[in-house]
Order: sequence, then structure tokens, then C-alpha cells
Amino acid sequence: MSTLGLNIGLQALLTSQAGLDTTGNNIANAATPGYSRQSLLQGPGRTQQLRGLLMGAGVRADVVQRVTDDLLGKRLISQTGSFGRQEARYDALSRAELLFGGASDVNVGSALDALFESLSSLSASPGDGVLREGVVQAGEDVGLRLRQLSGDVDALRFEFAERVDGLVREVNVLAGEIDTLNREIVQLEAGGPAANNLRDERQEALRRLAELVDVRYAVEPTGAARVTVGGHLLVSPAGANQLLAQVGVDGSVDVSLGGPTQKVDLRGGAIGGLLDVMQNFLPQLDDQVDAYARDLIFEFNKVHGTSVPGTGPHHRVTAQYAFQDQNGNGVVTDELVAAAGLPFDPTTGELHVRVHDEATGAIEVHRVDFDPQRTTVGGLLADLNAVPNLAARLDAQGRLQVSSQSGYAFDFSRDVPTQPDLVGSLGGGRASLATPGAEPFALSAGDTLTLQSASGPVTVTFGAGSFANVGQATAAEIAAALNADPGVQAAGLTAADVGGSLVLQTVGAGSTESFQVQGGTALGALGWTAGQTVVGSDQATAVTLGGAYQGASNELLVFRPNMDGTIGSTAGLAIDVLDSAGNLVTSLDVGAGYRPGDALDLGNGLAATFALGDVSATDNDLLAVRALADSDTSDVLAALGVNSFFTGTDAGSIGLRADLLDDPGKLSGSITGSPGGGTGILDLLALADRGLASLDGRTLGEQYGALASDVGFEVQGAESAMETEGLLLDGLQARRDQLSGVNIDEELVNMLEYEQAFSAASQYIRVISDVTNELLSLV
Amino acid sequence: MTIRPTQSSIFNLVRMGLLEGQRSSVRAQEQLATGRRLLRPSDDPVDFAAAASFQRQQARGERFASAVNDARTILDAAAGSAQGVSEQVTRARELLLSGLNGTLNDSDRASIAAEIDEIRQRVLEAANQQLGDQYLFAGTGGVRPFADGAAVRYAGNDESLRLTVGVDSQVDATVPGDRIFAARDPGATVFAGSTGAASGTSPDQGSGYVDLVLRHDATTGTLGSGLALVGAGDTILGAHTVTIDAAAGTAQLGNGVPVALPDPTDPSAADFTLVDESGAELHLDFTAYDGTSSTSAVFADGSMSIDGSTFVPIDFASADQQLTDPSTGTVLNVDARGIHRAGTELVQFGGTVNLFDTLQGIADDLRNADGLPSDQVQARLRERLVELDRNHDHVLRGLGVLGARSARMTGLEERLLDSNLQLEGLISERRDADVSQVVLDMAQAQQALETTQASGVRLLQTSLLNFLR
Repeated sequence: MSTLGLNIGLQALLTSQAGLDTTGNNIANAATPGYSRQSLLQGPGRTQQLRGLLMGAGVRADVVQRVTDDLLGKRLISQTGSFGRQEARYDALSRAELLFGGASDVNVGSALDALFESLSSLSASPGDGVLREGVVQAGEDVGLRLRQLSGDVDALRFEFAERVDGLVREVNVLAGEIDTLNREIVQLEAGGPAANNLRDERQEALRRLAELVDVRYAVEPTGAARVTVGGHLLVSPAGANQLLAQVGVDGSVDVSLGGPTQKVDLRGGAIGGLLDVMQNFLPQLDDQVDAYARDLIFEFNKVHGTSVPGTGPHHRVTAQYAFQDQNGNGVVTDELVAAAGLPFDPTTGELHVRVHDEATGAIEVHRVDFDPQRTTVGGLLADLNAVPNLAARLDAQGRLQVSSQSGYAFDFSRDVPTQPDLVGSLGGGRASLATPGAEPFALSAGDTLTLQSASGPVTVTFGAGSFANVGQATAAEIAAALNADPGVQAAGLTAADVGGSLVLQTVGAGSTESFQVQGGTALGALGWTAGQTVVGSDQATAVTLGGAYQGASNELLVFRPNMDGTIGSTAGLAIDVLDSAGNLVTSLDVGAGYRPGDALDLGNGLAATFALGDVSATDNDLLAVRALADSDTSDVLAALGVNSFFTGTDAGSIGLRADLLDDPGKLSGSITGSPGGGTGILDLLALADRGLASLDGRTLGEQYGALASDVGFEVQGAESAMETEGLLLDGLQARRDQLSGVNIDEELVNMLEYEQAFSAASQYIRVISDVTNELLSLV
Repeated sequence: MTIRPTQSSIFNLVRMGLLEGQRSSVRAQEQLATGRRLLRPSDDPVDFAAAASFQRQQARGERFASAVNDARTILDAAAGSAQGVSEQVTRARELLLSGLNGTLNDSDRASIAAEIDEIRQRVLEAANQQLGDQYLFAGTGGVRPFADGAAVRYAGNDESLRLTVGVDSQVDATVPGDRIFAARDPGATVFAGSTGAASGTSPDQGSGYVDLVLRHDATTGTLGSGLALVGAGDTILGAHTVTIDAAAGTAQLGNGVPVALPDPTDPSAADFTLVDESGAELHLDFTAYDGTSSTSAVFADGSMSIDGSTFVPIDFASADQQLTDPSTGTVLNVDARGIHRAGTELVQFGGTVNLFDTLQGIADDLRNADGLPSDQVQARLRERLVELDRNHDHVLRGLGVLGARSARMTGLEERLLDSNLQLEGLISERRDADVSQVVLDMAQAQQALETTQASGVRLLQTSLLNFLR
């Protein structure tokens, strides 16, 4: 007898045992995550030639094989990364969404509502100190909530950065694990069969890694896996590299691999998702919140700046925002205003300053033209200093300070002064001659003007140095040149600019005052004729204006009489009112039948009253009134932060002006300056319902709502992306399970099969043994 | 490839099913507990945005409602005041008409004057009424609008307290006091006529009343019948005639009542007063009366003033003599040709006298401190009546405006309440959970959960192990 039989039996026994072991392994690992079921691959033993017969030599256990699909495994890893990213994004965005609260929570939107509510209450009783305090507190509250929101967004960034840091640590731990497994696998598989359990472990480690970063891997013939993360090598047969997260002071994170300078761009996994939110969404949200705060600050300040404080017109104002030296020469005054480092941009336009003489109550309105692209800081200071009784300077920090001289006060209101004719150029007592037309006057350098006054002849020569452009001389320049001439002063004459026309007058009033224009080369440009005599009047009329201008844009209204006559007496006497385009607005009948002191309607919300007196059309009597719809069309007051409501430049710095908090009486609610006036308050209140161009026509409240719902949309998008990726992942997972998962019933059947094979094999061995014994007993 | 269920897939399946079932239950419970369908913006961003927008509108509606209420309170208070004033003025008118009755004596008139003073005080108080700290009729001036005095001036301004009661909709909650109590209408200068002074042709400038004081300076003239001028106590102005009728034994000044000639030996004859038809006096010395009849012409010069301190001589030939008071800017042109006696002429700038000055004037006229004859008093009272009626018209008009605005506020309030309610409904629709729906959802979720649990257990427990011995 040959040993073949026993051998066959032995092989069969051993193979069955191996099968049972494999089955047992599968059953034991049925719940192990990432386990791939193993199956015993067996084949028939090598055929032997025996006694002329080709005999099978039993069974041969070839290898215990993992049932896996490597391609499926790679896809699973990749999808795990995608899902991990979306999941992390959704989580992070949900955190951000909480900052905006639910639909009824206390937040910026409701604080804004409360501010408008307090303004509405104040408008019913503008003099009430308690209600004013309420407005100031409500404003501070809005600032507080915006600062909180901004701070919360920053805090989120830090929180996410910390989380990234923690995740990076995990990645490094996993990389270490994979590296260890690599070595073990390589060692174990050196020339031998696959190390199934270790490979499963490594695959599971890779899956956990894929949850955190975008992973690509390839298994080398040696069995080691080469893992790349974000395109850079994390684990190689040589070892594992370290991922490094550097958190900046502003909460930004730089991830590098294998050294601080090797930046890696991670897109997948939880880290990728978090970084995406941190680098794209959060800065965008921050910018949006900041932009919202800026719009709020600017719009409120635009309205508040031109109103008059409850404590009365200003004596001194300081700007909130400083001019900054941009070209590094240590001097600020040479910077263009548009490029001087202001947080808000003024535009080209005009600013009107009203200067009050506190003794007489007279109000002078001065216009400062302003083009931020052309005017330097120094130029602006000069223009403001040119306003009589006003002084402008920069303080130590570069902020504009405007103050009035003792006995004067100023404001920027659009209210029309009640007594507009300060020099008496319309029927005043002085002998007064005005130019028939307005500036510019086409003078030439060296032009002369000869006048005859009570004290003798006076000749004035206009030098080119007094004018910016002598061919386009302004009335103000000519008046300044005349007033500076000592001959003119000695003759008791004075000149003024009234609405762009030049007015030449005697200083004294009464019918004894007179002067005559004798000649001179400037006569033609000025529109006067030689020999024109002007006499003063004993009966000076006075013009009083009332009402509030309702027009939509700023106007210069010029009043001119249509003939010579006496108010209330001369038949057909009328005062024509012309706008800046020269169109007739209305004609006021002040002739016979008009009772001096009665109000005449100008039709745009204003009314005029004329007192008894003589007016003259031959002397070109005129009155110029600035009817303002907006006294600061350049928004320079808001850009500088003069008489502002809010301070700050973004959501992190917004607050209420400190001296307003200290003294709510300074709240600017009136445009007339009277303590009960509330037009300014109504203007602020109108912001609640006014769509702003800078917000695409939305109101401030709507803009906040849009901000919150945009975040909501983002979160919703992330949620559905996460669900989609999740479904795909589940699908792949299911397919993997189908292939590599353990079905216990199946294993039990296998177990029965192997058990029976084992029984049969042992039975066979007994038979062989019996047969051998029988053979032996024969001997 | 056929589907091969594995242990892990079976367990996962049951696990997922259970989790999902629980999630639905929890969500339904959350909605029930908070009453809200939308808990976070991401639940339904579109509806969330709409709900947030509605909330802004709701806040705005509440703001408007509160402003409307404030406006109405102020308007009603002012209307109440104005109503009281109107009643007082009506009573004053009755008193004035009774004062015009010629049968009353001085003490009757004095008591009527006292009552009119009372009325004036009450009207003044009503005009100065405050609501809280705010004056109802001072515009936005914040100061007492009408200070008591000889001539009451309006110290407030022309601005109204304006409230925002709707989008682009505002209401003036006050009417400036000068429009109700001191309104200015077109009119002419009116002279009461007691001294003969009349309005000149040039335009006058001024407001309210002016007392034109005409003063006698000197009398000149040659008298017949041996009479002489005393030179003191005369109140005639201009040219007058003295008629002595020796036959009837009377002396007559102008068209006055002839009086009996005095006895020259009587000590009173040295200063005998003749009174003309307007009550002007001429003092004559009759001691040298020679008993003849004569008609003599005398001329009395005088001067006049409107401020009581600066007097200008009367130009009796002038039809248009101008008097000015620079401190008030008053310019008065007087036709002096008809001036015949000294005294205080009431000059009224028609349409400019305010209610208080009118009442003051009525009381003064009734008291008649100057001792004017009753027909002149009545002339003055009739002029006052014109101004009183004019002022009453303005009070009634102001009352009408206040009342109309108040009614508008009431209507607005109702509309705002309605639209607020509607908004509430809209918000609730979007944001709140429909309780019955949620309860249904919850019941469904519960049921699904239980089914999953039951079937899951069944599936999990089925195993070959149960059957192997």
C-alpha cells in the first residue's frame, strides 16, 4: 500500500479544518467594521502517476482569500471623502445659521425695529428727554447686536480652526497606523500569501482617513500602500509624513504636509469641508455683515448730520474719521479727499453751512463746493475757513474740527432763514446797485471801474491776481477785490455777492446816501451804464420767508422787482421769482392792493412777506434765497462723521457716538433749531421704509432679512448636497456589503459542509487504516 | 449580480429604519412643543424670508398704530380746547350785543366788561394749554405761545408737530396757534372816527390795534363879543366856530347844544366851557362879555402820535400824513383834514387783530375810561364785533381741521388694526405649525416606527441558528 491514501485523507482533514477555521473567522468577524469575508480556495491536489494510472492526490488548500473588489474599495474611499466634506460643511453652516436666530428671536432685525419704534415715539413729543434717551439707547442696542454678530462670526472661525487642528492630529495618528500596518503587511507577505486581516485593518484605517481628508492610494506589489492626500504623499513605504495646521491670529488656517512650507490644498473630507466654509463662506458672511453695518452707519449719518441738535446750533464739531497720510510725507493736507483714507466716500456736490449771529439772530447761508477727486484736504480746510466767522483745522489725529467764533454758532440745516436779505439788496435803505446778470463776468486783467461817491471819485483796477480766471470772474472774487480796495472803503462803499450777482452799496442807509457809476472798462462786462446814479431810501422794505421748501432738488431762487415802485402802492408792481435755470417760478403781486405784512405763497412750500418800502428794477434790486432739499449733496458730513449718529466703520466697530450717549440732548431732531421741531426725526424714521440704492432697492430691515435667509439657503443647499452624497455612499456601502459582508446563514451552511467533509475524511482515514491493518495482518 | 444580503446590511437596514422613524417623531414633537413649523432658516428659506419680511411689516404697522394713537390724543386735546374757546367767544358775542344796547348805564357796562375780562382769561388759558410738557398751540417753539399783556403776540412758530402714520403718509398733529387765535386776513385800516381822523391813501403797515393820540397844543383866533380864550383845557382841534346869540342868550360851539350865556360877574365866567357836537371843549373867558352876538372862528393846533411819546404836528391840509413807529415797524397814513377834536382814536389794522386783543378792546370800550359819548362807544364796539366774528371763524375753522384730522386718524387706526390682523395671519400661515397636521404627522411617524421595530426584530431574529441542534 502507498502512502497516497493516508495522505489524501490527511490533506482532506487539514483542508476541512482550514475551511472550518475560515468559516469560524468569518462568523467571529461578522460585526467587525470593514471586515471582508474570507473564503478558502481549494483545488485538487497534483496528479500523480502511480502504477501506470494518473491518480488525483486529494485536495489542496490554496489560499485563504479576501472577497473584495479593489476598485469598489477605491470608489468607496473617494465617496467617503465627498460625503465627509458635505457633512462637515452642513454642520459648520448650521452653526453659522444659529447666529441669525430663529424667525422671532431677538436679533439685529428686531433691534432695528425697536430703534424705529423709539424714533416714532419721540416724533410725537420731540422735546421729551426720556424719549430721547430711549432713542439713544435703542441705537446703542443696534450697534451692540451688530458687534455681537460680527464677534460671533469671528468666534466661529476660531472654533472651526481649532476643530481643523484636532482633525489634523487625528489624520496624523491614522497615518501612523497605516504606516505601521504597511510594515507589518510587507513583512508578513514577504514571499507569502496575503495578510488578509491586516489588509482589512488598513482598509478600515484608510476609510477613517477618507472621512477626514481627500485620500488617494495605491497598493504596491510589496503590499505597502502609498497614500496621497491633496496630491501630496502622506504615507509611503518609507514612512509617514505629518500634516501640520498653522492657525493664524485672525483665525485663518494654513495646512501643510511634510514641513511648514509645503502648503497643501485639501478639498475632501471633514477638513476639506471645514476649510471651504472657513475660506469662502465665513469671509463672505463677514463682508456681508460689515457691508450691512456700513450702509446702516452711512445712511443714518447722512440724515442726522444735517439736522440741528436739540441743544442748539453747534459751536464746535469734530469729525469721527481721520484723514490719513497716504504718500508717506508726514503731511495730510496734500492728500486728495477721495484718497485720504476715509472709510466712506463723499461725492461731488455742495455743502451748505448756516452761520448764526447769536446777538442779532441773523443767519447767513454759505455754500462750499466740493469735488473729492480734485479737492485736497488742505483745500477743504481753506474753503471752510473762507466762511466768515468759521474756523476749520485738523486735530492731532488728523480729524477735521470746525468751530465758530465767539458770538456765532453754525449748523448744516436745510431750513430757509426767516430773514434772507442780510445786505438789503432788495429795496434796502442803502443806495444799492446790482449787476443785471449773474456770474461769470468776462473781465480782462487791468479793467477799471470808476465811481463817484459823496467823498469824491474812486477808481478801482482789477488785477489778474485777484481772480482764478479773470475771464470768468465770480461775483465773490469781484466783491473781495472791491472791498479790499482802500479807495472803495474810504468812499463808504461796500460790495457783496448775492446769488452770483455783484451788488455795490453804500455803507450807510437813507435817502441822503448815493453814488454814481462814472465809467471804466469793466462796465460792459458788469452790465452797468456810465452815469447810472443810485440813491438810498428812507423806507427800507424787509422780506420775511416762512414755511418749508418742498422741492426735490436744491434751487437758487432769485427775487427781482419788475419795475420801480413802492410796496403796496404802485399799481402792477410785482416781485418775480426765478429759479436757477432762469424760469419764472411765480410772480408775487405786491402792488396796489397788497397789504404789507401779508403772506404770499411761492408755491413750493415757502411763503414771503414784504414790508413797506421802495424797490427798484433800474438798480437791479435782487434777493437770492437758497431753497435746499438737501444741504449736503456731497455727503461729506457723513463721510467725515460730523454730527454723526453712529460711529465706526464696520460691524465690529459700530457704536453710537459717545457724546450722544452722554448727552441725548445733542440728538439732532430738528431742522429749524426749535426745541419742539421733529422734521429730522421724521427723516430718520423714513429710513425704515425707504429702499436704498446701495441695497438694490431694499430697506435696511429687508436687507437684514435677506442676509439671514441667504444663510438659510446656503444651509439648505449643503443639507441636500450632504443627503445626495450620503445616498451615493450608502449605495456603494451596500454593494460592498453584498460582496464582502458576512452572511451568517451562509457561513453556517459552509460550516456544515466542511463538517461533513471532515467527517467523511476521518471516516476515509479509518477505512485506510483498517485496510492497512488488514494488509499487515496478512504478513 | 444578484443581491446578497449580509449581516451588516440587514442590521444597517433595521438600524436606519429605526433612526429615521425616531427622527420623524422627534421633529413632529419639536413642532408641537414650539408651535412652529419653521425653526431655522434652513427649514424653508423662502418661507422664512417671507415670514421675516412680514415681521418687519408688522413692526412697522405697530409703529404706525402707536403714532396714530398719539396723533389722535393730541388732536382731540387741541380740539377740546378750541371747542371751549368757541363757546366762550359765543358768550362774549352775546355780551357785546347786550353792551351795544343804548339803555344800559355805566355800572351795567362795567359788569359786562368784567365778565369779558374773565372770558379773555379763559381763552388765554385754553390757548396756552399743554398736553404733558408740550404746548398744543405753539407750533414747535416749545415756549408759551401767548403771553398776557396789553398787546398779545404769538411767540410760537409756524411749524406743526408732524407724525408718520403710514408709508409716505404723515399728519400734522397740531395747528400753529397763530392760525387759530391770531390769524391774519386781508383787510383795510379802520378808524373808529371819534376824532375825525381817517385813513390816508398810502398803504399802511402794522398789525392789531394802534391808539392814535391826538393832542391839543394851542388855540388861536380872534373872538368877537369881548370874549377871550383861556388857553388851557381845550380839546378842539382844527377850525371851529363860536356863535354867540345875544337875543337867545346862548353860546354855541360848532353844532353843539347851545348853552345859556353865563353871568359875566360870576367867578365861573372866567373859565366857561363850550362843548361841540362831538364832545370837544373850548374854554372861554366871559368876564369881558359885551352882550353882542357874534360868530368867531378859532383854530386849534395839535399834534398826534402812535407810540405815545413822539408827537408830530397835525397837518390839517394833508390827506395823507404819515406816522411811523420804528420800534414796531408800524406805518400809519392819516387823512387829517377832518380832525376836529383831540382824543385817542382807535385805529385797527383790519384782519390782523387777534382774539385776545379784540376781547381786551371790547372790555376797555365798555368801561369807557376816556368818557367818550355813547354813540362813539357804539361805533367802536361795532368794529370790535367785526374782528370778533372774524376770529371766531378762524377758531371754528381750526376746530374743523382738528376734528377732521382726528376722524381721519380714527379711520386709519381701524385700517391698521385690520391689516395688522391680516399680517398676523400671513405670518402664522408661513411660520407656525398646523397643529392638526403635526399631530397627524406624529401619529404616522409613531406608527411607522412601531412597524419598523416589529418587522426589524422579526428579521433579525430569523437565523439558521434557531434550527441547528
